[in-house]
Amino acid sequence: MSKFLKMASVTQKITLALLGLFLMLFLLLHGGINLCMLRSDGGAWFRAAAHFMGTNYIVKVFEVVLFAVFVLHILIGLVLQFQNWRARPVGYKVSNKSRTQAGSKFMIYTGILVFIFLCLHMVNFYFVKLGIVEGKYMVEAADVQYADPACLQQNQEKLLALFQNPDSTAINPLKPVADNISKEDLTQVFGTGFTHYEPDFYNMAKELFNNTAYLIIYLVLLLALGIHLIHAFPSAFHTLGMNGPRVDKPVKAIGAVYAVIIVLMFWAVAIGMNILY
Amino acid sequence: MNKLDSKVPSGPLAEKWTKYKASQHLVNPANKRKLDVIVVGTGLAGASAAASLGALGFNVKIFCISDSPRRAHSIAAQGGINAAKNYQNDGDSVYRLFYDTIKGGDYRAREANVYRLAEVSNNIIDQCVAQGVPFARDYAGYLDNRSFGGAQVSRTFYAKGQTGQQLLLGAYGALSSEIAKGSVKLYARREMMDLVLDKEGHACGIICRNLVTGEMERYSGHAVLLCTGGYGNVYFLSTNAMNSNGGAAWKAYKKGAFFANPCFTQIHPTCIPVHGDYQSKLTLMSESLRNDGRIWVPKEKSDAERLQRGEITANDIPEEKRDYYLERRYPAFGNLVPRDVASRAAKERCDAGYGVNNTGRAVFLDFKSAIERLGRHKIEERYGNLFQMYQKITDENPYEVPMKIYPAVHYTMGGLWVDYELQTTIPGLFALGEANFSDHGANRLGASALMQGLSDGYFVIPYTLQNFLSSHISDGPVPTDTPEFDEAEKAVRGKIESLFAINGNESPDSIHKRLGHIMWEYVGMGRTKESLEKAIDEIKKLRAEFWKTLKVVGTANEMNPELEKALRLADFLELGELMAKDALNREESCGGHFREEYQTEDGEAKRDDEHFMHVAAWEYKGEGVEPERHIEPLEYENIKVATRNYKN
Amino acid sequence: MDFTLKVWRQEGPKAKGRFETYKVTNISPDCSFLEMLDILNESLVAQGVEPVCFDHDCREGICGMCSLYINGHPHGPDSQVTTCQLHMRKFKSGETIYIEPWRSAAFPVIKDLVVDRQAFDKIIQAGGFISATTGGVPDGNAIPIPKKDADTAMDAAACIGCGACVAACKNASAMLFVSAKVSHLAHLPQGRLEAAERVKKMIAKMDELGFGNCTNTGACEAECPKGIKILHIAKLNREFMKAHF
Repeated sequence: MSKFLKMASVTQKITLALLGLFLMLFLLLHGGINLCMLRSDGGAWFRAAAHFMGTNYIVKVFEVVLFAVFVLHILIGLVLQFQNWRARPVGYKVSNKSRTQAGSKFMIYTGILVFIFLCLHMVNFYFVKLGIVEGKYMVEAADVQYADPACLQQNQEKLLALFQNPDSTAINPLKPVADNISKEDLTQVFGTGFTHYEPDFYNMAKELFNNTAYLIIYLVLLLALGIHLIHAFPSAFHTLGMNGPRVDKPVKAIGAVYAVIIVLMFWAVAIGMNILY
Repeated sequence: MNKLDSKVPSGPLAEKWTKYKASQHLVNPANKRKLDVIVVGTGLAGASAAASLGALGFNVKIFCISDSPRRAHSIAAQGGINAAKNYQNDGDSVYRLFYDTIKGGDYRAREANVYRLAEVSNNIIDQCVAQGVPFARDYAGYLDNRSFGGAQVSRTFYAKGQTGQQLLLGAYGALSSEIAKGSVKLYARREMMDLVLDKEGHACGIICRNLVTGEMERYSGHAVLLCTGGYGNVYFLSTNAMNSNGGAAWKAYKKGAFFANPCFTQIHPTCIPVHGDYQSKLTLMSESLRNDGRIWVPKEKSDAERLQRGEITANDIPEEKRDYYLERRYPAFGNLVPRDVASRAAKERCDAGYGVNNTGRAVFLDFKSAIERLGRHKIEERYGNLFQMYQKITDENPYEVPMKIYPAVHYTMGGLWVDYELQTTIPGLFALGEANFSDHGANRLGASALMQGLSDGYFVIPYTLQNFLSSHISDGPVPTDTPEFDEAEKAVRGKIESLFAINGNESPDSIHKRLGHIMWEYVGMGRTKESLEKAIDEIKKLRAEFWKTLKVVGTANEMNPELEKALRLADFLELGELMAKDALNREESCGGHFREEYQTEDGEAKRDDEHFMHVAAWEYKGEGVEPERHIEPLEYENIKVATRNYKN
Repeated sequence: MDFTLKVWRQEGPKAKGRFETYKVTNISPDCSFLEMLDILNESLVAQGVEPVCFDHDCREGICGMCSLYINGHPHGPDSQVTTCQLHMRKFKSGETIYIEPWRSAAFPVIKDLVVDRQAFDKIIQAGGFISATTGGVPDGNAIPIPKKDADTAMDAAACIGCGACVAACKNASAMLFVSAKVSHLAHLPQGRLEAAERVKKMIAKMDELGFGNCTNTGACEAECPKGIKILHIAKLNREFMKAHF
């Protein structure tokens, strides 16, 4: 980092912009997967996507890169911001009223909000995966064989209840995947040594989005992300020198459209889950 | 013996400069490092001189009154810079530029200097292009030209309406590169308080006031170059910048440098008229506007009166009731007559009662026909920034209503007397650019000031200074702890103390306004024996009052603009008197100097070549003693002296 | 017109400053902002009070000397003007006007509203020029320059070095100033030879002097009295990347 600090400000900014563009691509991907939740298939597509993302080795490598990018983006952003604050030790009595690009004056603040959101998101979802935080889980019927037979024996009724298909008209009364399992039930039914389970993100999301307080926080923080993005997109292109008299307006327009799409994508899922399921 | 030796080399005019360069003494590179050169001022002349001398290897110290060399008032020149490139194939040549300049100056400039100026004018353009000055270009990528007053060819190179800015920034860039190399040392926010002469009477240094701390500082050098511009601010209202002052030149005069032709003041015809007594500054609208703008007043006095009362506007006056008086009086040059002619014609119309604004002191500059002919877009491209500036100041849209303009003090052709080498009568003291008197005679043509500043700085002083310094290579460093420096510094401190000691009740500005009024009324566009005598009398009275009623608040040991103003005003109060004296002695009309007693029947200037074809250089003789008027006769060997004629 | 002025007064670089309140009355709407301050100063002198120090010189909007931060705007509320070209007709009679100096670590206050902008000179000295020693250059028409490039170079070169961009920028960044010079010279064939070195050195000097970073907010562009576009910053970024590859 100390070597990085000695680099030219423009180098630092170019790095920040490249990292930001990477994160913008990730957001599109994430938003796309989220949209699967809205399908009325009880989360089947979403689960499949989540399963793929959670198990594919290429994605796992990508995950490490993603984390590194997040961390670097935040750190460089902070470094630049501290330099910026230091550049004006005495402020103005009348705050600046200059016309500026939308959202551009609040990048650090929207960034902090996005960071808070990220923390919340990690606690709610990613930490569950890591096993740090307790969530809801799911187990495939085929994996029951790896469970502790003694426990299964003891909790046969519960086990059946987990795999019971609530849709009674179905021919097969049992589901291929048991979902929405609490940690307590999981260890009780399958034993402490059982590892063939996955977090049930679908049900966790459903539960959270049906919590009005959480929903509002989620919507607000996503709005902050949108404001962050509306400037981030054209600004990144500008920093990378990819701007000129003819592309200036299109780049800004695409940036705005992108930011709106991202916000709408995530909002749609959150509101949809609240209303529909 | 005549004290004024112009040192013009012998031989044919076109070969003088070449001959001089071939035979002058040079300083070898090892010795250049041992020689210190002081440059005061960072305008075109100062910056280009310091950059060129630094590049040659001299130790240069450059002094700047503002916070940065880039602020010098050369930056405000708008229209362009002349050069005899003949890129337009319209018949231009070095000789023609020389001829136009001499003629434009009403045959009161030194032939050899002007010819040299025309000769090096082409090098200036090349140099500036190499520095990255973004001159206007045509669609083929070649340099574009426009025409200016006093010429029948298009020889003016320009960068939008900001030519002076771009040339200065070019010179500033060159200067900055030398500062970075260490060959030039920059001292910003310093004002020269006095010139120091050594025991032999050679210029050896300056006393400066640090404008931030108020400290007195001493700097020494083997030569001192004054590039401090003109003294137009003696009129209080002028197009000069607020900090422009005649102090440095005046100090040099009082130390023995002769002051030449102080009465030659240029009144620029196209300025935004005065609108209130609180006004601090007049704004110039570039002469280039006269390329496409037509100047007029109403034909009928009743229309003018209604305009003055604000009952009608310009657009209410039909074409046939408009008097395009320049086109009427001067068919050959029309709206592009030289500045002095255009200014006097405007004054004549306004004096006759045809002025068009509420004060009756304005004429119209109309772009209607140009917009119709070329389209608004073209006009916008040519003059957009000037139109915007006009609108910001006056709140009127010049695309729709004609501009109102009136003459204002703009440039001073007079200045320190210098010889062919740009050396004053004090050995080792040189004057460059507007600070000297040399090239413009009694009237300067448009786009020639930039040319002269850069010519002096880039292409003349690097040669002539070496000729002088070659005899000082074994002098060693010039000390600053000599009795001469002590005495000079003491005198400056004493003067500052005495200014504070007056402790009256009038601010420097209020006295300056009164001086300006005297100068404008009695030493302005039209002068008479009576007015000049009255001016001398009034200035004397005002000067006495200044030393009784002035109030300078604050202290000397801090940033104190009031003290700066008071110090400059003290000089102006003396300089103004010399201007009037010079004007009184020059019993003829020529160029910017118009004595109403000496005019032809149709109101044109009437020169008296028999008695006044000379430079008048004034020698300071001491406090309260009449200065002595010396004469440098002007001989025209290569040009036929004629009455200026812009009619046909 | 009458105004209440809240003016920043600071005796010296190290002194602690404060706002002083002054009233000016009977001001003509055609009066420029600096002339209004002249009137204030005349009245202060009459009272024996030290007048307000402010930088000014040409008073026609080209020297870049004037530098006041007025009611939240460098050079005041009008667009594309310097303070000296701002006229009182842009204000409402009775208005309270706050006048502050440029605020930036790189532009320390010298006195009252006067700041030290030598940092800009140092950036130019780091490379904001074409090294063309006097004499020995080719004819001005030897290298034709496309009109478009010459015009773009001129637009960038219009910078007056006033520092409004720094004053307006929330980061006190000098990028618009630096980019104007880099872009001006990079658009000309004469400037290409030193382009890589120039941009690196100027950026390094800008960083060293304590200016902030550009976050593309565009405040500089909005306040620039010469209308210099932030597209020149994109050009600078391109030049910077080109310089490294």
